[in-house]
Amino acid sequence: MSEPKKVDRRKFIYAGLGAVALIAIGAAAYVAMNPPVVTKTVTTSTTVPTTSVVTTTSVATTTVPTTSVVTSTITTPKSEINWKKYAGTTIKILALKAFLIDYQLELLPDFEKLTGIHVEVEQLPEDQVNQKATIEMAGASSSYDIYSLWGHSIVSYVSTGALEPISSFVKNPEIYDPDYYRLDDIIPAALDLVTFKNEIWGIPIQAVYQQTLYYRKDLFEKYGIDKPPRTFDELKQVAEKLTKRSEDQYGFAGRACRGTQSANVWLYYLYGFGGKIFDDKWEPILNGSEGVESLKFYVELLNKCAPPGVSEFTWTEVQNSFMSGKVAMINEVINWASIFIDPSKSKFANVTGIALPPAGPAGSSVGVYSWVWAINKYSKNKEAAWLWLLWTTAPSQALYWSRKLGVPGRLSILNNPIFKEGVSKWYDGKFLQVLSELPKYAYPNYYPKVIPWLRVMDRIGVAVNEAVSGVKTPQLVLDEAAKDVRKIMEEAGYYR
Amino acid sequence: MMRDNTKFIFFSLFPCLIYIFLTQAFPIAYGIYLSLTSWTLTSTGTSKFIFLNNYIELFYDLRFINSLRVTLIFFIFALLIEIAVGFFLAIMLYKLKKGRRIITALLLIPFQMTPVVSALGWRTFIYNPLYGLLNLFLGSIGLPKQRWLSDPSLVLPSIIIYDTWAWSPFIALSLLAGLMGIPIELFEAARIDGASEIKIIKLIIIPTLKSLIAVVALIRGADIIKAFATIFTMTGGGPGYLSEIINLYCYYVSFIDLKIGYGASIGIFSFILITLYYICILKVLIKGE
Amino acid sequence: MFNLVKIHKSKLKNVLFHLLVLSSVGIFMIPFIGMVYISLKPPKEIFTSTIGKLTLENYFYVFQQSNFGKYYLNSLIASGGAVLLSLILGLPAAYVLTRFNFKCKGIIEYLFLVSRLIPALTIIIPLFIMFRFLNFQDTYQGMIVAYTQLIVGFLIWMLREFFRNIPKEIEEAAMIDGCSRLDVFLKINIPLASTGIAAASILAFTFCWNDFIFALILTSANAKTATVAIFNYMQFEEIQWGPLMAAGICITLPIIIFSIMLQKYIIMGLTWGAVKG
Repeated sequence: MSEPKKVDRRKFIYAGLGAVALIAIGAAAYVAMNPPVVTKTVTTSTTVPTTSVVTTTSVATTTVPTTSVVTSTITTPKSEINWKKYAGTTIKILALKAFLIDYQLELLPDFEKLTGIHVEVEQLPEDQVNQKATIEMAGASSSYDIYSLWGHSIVSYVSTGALEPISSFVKNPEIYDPDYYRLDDIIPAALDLVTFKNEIWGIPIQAVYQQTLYYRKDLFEKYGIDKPPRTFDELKQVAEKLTKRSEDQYGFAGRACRGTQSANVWLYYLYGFGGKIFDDKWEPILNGSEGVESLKFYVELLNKCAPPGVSEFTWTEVQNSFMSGKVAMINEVINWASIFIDPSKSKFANVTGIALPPAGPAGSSVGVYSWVWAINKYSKNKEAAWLWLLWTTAPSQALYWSRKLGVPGRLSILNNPIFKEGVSKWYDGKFLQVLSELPKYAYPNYYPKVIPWLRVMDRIGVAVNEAVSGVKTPQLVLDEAAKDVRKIMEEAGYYR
Repeated sequence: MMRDNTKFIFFSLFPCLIYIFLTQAFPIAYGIYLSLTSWTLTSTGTSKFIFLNNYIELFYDLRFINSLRVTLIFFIFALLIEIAVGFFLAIMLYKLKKGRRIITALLLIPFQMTPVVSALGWRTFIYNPLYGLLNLFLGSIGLPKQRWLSDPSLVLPSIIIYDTWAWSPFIALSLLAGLMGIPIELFEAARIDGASEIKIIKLIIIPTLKSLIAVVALIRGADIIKAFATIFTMTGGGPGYLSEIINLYCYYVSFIDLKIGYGASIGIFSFILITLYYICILKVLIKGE
Repeated sequence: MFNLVKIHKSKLKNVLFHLLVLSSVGIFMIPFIGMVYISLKPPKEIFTSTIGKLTLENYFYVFQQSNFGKYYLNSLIASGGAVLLSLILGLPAAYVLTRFNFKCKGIIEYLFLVSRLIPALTIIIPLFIMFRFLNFQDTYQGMIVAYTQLIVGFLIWMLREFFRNIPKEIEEAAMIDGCSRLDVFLKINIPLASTGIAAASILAFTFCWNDFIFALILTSANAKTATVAIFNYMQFEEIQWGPLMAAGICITLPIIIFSIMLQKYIIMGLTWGAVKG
């Protein structure tokens, strides 16, 4: 029986070769790809002067490594906090994959030097980080000490009982110093987002204004439009003027996909027409006349002036359609400002303009949103995690990452000359102007603080999606949504 | 002899069975248990054992009934088309003499890519009404452009086309392996007898491969019913709820509504559906023996 | 004379056939070619239709800016380990299910398949809790265990088909000659079914390789697989399409190469199968 033996040997050799080759490829990749990380070149870089122009007065230096370029100039002001108390612990963070968080994470080496706490971070995109965080919370897991969570639905997450309010930590003078941290300096609208039942449940990472008008100055010029629209009516007129379907050019684009983001966007128009989601007894009134009118407005605007298939648009498509040059105006979040003027990302970097969002008949009610750092109640290293949170969002550090982001997390930073200098050139100075005026229009009740808000927001998003895609009329869509929202609120115990 | 056999059978099956028991007994039992509770993440401490109430509620849940409808449409069309295309591809590949190695390897790509990335790629670069390939192509030959994923009547066909692209190679490769196991003499004998291609297919290939086709149909069918990531990425279930397949609804219930118990019941229900499908396939297999 | 006509006709058929094959495969490859194309475009140009310069900067970005090599290796270990373990557990089981009939056979067959039939979402939370309890969270052994239970059923059912094709007579002849059951299994069935084993293994490998829900929930920094790591390029503020596509292609390539190499030995097994030694 010599044949089978031959086959055995040959088979073994080939299988072995194949396996070895595969492992070799993987190992080679691993070995070759372990060189030191290429330091990112920051496009908006200006050297920070060594005299700390930080809002706190007294300065005391702690030894900071000279390897990190920018942070060697950030000094930790004197405080009573015992930074080294938890030296030697390791904390784990489950974070969103985002530039804004990346910039904060750049400060990790300094934190580790200061406190001796080792930090491990895992980053994932929005949907995945929410899925994972939900499962971790459902399993009462202590794998992660800090989560980054959706700010608009923080109330829903709080209700799971998996989060620790900051009150547990602020009472301890060893790990909290009110003068050092200046809680009141955090943008109030953002802090309000995380306040529920008289407790603060996390720290907002930044305050992102949800509405800012970005527009193409060259197209405005071409069609003789001298200034950006200030009202909803003007918005519609300008958008219609700039829509030339035969040339594949569109006046406006907005999100309308099936998901919470569409609700996020429509709420602006709802409030702009004077509508509301709930009355003071928590009964849904989103299908009232203002609601229907606002949805009709949004639907018409998109159907007339937006690219075909706009009802699939997530934020990605809105951003892309603007960056590809096909769309003239978008009403979107302020933290995209840095992307649109980056010549390595956008072909239209020097003809993009920025302005305050247009106001409806009842005014402009801009939403303030933030991703939120929250501490896991089941964590075994809560205080160490708190120290990280405290330090990273403290005034001196906030200056560093707010500058890179262009969106400040603190009031003091808005007026800080270093910050201002960094963004003063953006949009020929208009960015700073818009940024300083937006707080006037911030609407504190943009996201009603109800426990099943996540669910309600998703349901509203479905309604917006159905209306824009033409499946049903705005009135019908809102009526059905109102019925479902009522059921949701009833299940959550709001009508007892 | 018999005792030897029994020992052999026992030792062959035992490790595998133990393994499966250890890794699955708890999760499945716990999953079933969860489906009998009212556990909602946002109301802590109020999880009650409510027996079959979740399942009863499913019957009155319009959104659930809708998801069943969507699942059925997707299942029937996608499965049939994929098997047909896969079968056709397998026969073509079998006849190919040169280059079969490379083409077979290339055909691994569609279903081997991370589903989220390939679905995202299709959605952004092929189906996008503004700059996607399909519409650009249609525009260049003068046909009207379509809203592939937002037109209520096109959304399911578009998803089915994507799924066919991704998975018919899987079916083709499985069937190809089966074809290669058929002794060549059978074909030669048939050709000598003067049989036409189609007759060969009908009388040799299909009967021999019947059980393999059934296995592949089972796996693929189960995967279709379980589908979630690709549809979530492509449409999120939209427009409205028109492409919300049963597992996607389960996702929304578990992760957005945060009703873990109810979500588990949807999951167990789809598991029961799949088991029923499995029993149907078994009947086909038994008929074949 | 009539020979020439016949030759021409068959040549034409040949050409047409190859054309058909190429175009069919081509259709399947178009999206992939598109992805390669995008991965070669610089970031600015991705949404414009200009066929400008092509660069490799996305690939460099992928390998330099992130630890992609490590995640690659993790995927390899998890998927490869799972396939190996599944083969060890599954080959004997598949053989027994083919050749013997016994009382609980139906139930056992079903039990093997259950993991493949159950939706991942249903068992992900219990599995998560179980893993935490066993300290399998974010470990290689945990991933191998998780993936094995995912594919072992599929593998067994596929292997059954290929074992079925081996005529009983060969085995019986060998046993009459004095070989034990085990010998028959190892020295006859496995070599003769090698085509099928290889094919099924590759397919099972791809199921593990491109799974992401288990990897997402059951791993953290340590054992993270490439399919989860690819999400690094989906930021909150923008999706980096170039690197995303580049990473996607890097993930796909090893499988292709591996399967091309494996085919050599499949053909070997095929020819030995044809010769009933």
